[in-house]
Amino acid sequence: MTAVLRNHTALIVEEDIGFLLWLGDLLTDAGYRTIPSSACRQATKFARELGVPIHLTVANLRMKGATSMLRALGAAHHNLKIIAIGAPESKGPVQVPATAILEKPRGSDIVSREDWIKRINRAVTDAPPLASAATSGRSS
Amino acid sequence: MLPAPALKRTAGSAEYRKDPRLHPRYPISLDLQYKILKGRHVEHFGDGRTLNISSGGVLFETSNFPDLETCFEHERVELAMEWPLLLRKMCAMKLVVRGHIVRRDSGKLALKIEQHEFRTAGVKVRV
Repeated sequence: MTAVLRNHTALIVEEDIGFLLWLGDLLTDAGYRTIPSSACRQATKFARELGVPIHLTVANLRMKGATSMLRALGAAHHNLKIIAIGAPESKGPVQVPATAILEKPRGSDIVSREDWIKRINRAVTDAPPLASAATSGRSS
Repeated sequence: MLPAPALKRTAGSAEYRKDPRLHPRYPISLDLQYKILKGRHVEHFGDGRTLNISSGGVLFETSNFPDLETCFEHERVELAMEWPLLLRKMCAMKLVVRGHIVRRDSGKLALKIEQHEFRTAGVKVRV
């Protein structure tokens, strides 16, 4: 398994606690220190309390306050990369400052840890950090 | 800084098919401490390990859960799991889940989640 950013910190925000811990386990395995959270306000509080620089945020777009949280985190953490988890049934453009958007697996999907690591690594390496994306005119 | 310890996998968890039930279960293995609560009183405590977790419940195994008929109906059970986020050699996060035992099969117990919270160590730690 390839780890792109060893010993970097990832903040994961997801209301489904099973998926949240599974993602946390997966990113820990890839070399990240992971901070799990099941609410946006809580995630912001953790980021402030723990006082560590956040390098990657993975967040469920459907959660209340997700967009404002992502904007605030992007402003507070230099070179933050954001992976938004969009539900498969999401429609229309997503107005979030994300560097990549991945879909949450559905109930009948076969979920491969290695496949998800590859998708996250691809998103982290291919996409510019939020600050770069904003200055180059990319919206998502 | 020490790297966070890797979580231990449950057998066959590298790839799995999620079942179509309401709350898909994700295989994850975390050490836990449990408490059986009666009001604010701790009736019994012990340790174990999670087998899988969904948004609605936790399946865990333990060798020392008491054989209490009443624990299925009256007592609340609290599970505390340390999340492997290490900052300056100390574990900075803990997940606490409370609920009721809804199924028991030998040493495996299914807890229906009624409440959960993440806790930090309460101190600001800089790295």
